[in-house]
Amino acid sequence: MLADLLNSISVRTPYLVMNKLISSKELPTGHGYEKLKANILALKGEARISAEQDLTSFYEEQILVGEKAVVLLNQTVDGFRESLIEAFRELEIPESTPQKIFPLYLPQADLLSLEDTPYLCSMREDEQYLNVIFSSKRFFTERVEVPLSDIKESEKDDYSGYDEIVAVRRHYQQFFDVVSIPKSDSPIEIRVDAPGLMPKAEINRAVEQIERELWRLGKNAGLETSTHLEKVNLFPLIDKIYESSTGSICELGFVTDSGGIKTARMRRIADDLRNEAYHKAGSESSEIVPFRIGVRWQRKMADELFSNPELLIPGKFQQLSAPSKEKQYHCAVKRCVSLEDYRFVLDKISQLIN
Amino acid sequence: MTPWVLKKVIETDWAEQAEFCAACLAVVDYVHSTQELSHLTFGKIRRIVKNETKIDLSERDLVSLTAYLCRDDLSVLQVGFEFLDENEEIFPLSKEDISRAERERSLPHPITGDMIEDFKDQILIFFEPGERIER
Repeated sequence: MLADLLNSISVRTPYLVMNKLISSKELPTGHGYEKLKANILALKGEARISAEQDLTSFYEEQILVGEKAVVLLNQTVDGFRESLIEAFRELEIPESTPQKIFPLYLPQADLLSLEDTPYLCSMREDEQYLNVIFSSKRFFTERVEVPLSDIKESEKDDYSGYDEIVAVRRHYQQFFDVVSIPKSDSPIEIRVDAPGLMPKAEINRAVEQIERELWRLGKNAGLETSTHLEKVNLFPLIDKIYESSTGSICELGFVTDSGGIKTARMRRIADDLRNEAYHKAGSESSEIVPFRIGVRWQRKMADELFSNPELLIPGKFQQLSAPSKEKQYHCAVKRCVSLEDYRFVLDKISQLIN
Repeated sequence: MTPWVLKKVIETDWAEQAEFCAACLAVVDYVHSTQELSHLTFGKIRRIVKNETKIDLSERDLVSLTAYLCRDDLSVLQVGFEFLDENEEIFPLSKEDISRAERERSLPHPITGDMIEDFKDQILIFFEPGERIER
């Protein structure tokens, strides 16, 4: 079980995030995931039991909030959130391959045999939220070079003018997507797994897929409509974050009055673009309008140990070309070590929205 | 070490190599006089020297100059390391990370945790002002 747990952690959790947890819990370290896993698996007795408990809690939180693209939905009709919670409480989770093995990841062969629609896997309720967790199968494409030597002898003449042949291959991956329904007056959150630099179109597709499944299940549970919710536009937050003093800005896309389109990034975790000499001088001599922003925070976990949750609102410069285009419905929340890190970021968003 | 003493030490060390001495002093002046300086690359150091002295340092002299200015007793510069991943995201590395990677001949990828054996191409070296620099 511990081995399966460690394998699932290594599939979804950035190594640097896992290392923060390892340091805070004083677990054995390793040089890379493989050695780290071996060193933890070598633990015996109480130390092993304690490690497994810590890692299980960590992993369950990572499924809920680790490396996510987040869409916020406000209710437009009073009481709709409560109806949603009631409807989902009544819902039975259908048996399925992902549901049986949840929260662990499926072997690739099992994943490939699944339909492309999301599978409801689990519902976790606490005092503040009902979390509905889906497993989704999505694919990425990768470009793979086909060796010219693989071309059949009889067809070689057809490819004589080619130096290189590249094929596009589909690579399937399992994702855990979450719909988190608050019991208080806060927006509903759709959080889809978004590892690395997932393209905007794929994030939008994943969110739409989860929305469709949510309303299909809601309908089965007696809800009549999905029109009582509206997505929160996060685009105005880009300006608000830039003008506030929250966190450290690590990335900024902006346009200038003289026609420039700029992207600036800060290397070090604690450095803030707002205070960088070149940026300060430039923004004092020319008006800038930001369209994309990344901000990160330092949160103390222990002596000399900090987590660095990040928020990215990935707007594009063309969105500034018309007021109707200044809409950005998802942000990315990354590098959270814990649920508290994620809530910290969402609280910052909430403060700026309000 | 005050800037004046530092200059005297450099002039003494390189008394017989006037060009190299001038190059070192140009970098020392730049580090002392530039506010909010935290990141110098080899390319930047070469430009500082060229702008101030018209000397076009060879690759070998550039490496020698940085090694000399990083020496513990001078501490004009200190070396830093970063890892650049395939998405062009930059991750700071400590000296311990580098020592361990060299010892074990591989570096864990900060995101995937997979071991990278030919990691040297993905490591960027930079310099920052040494801790004893007075500005």
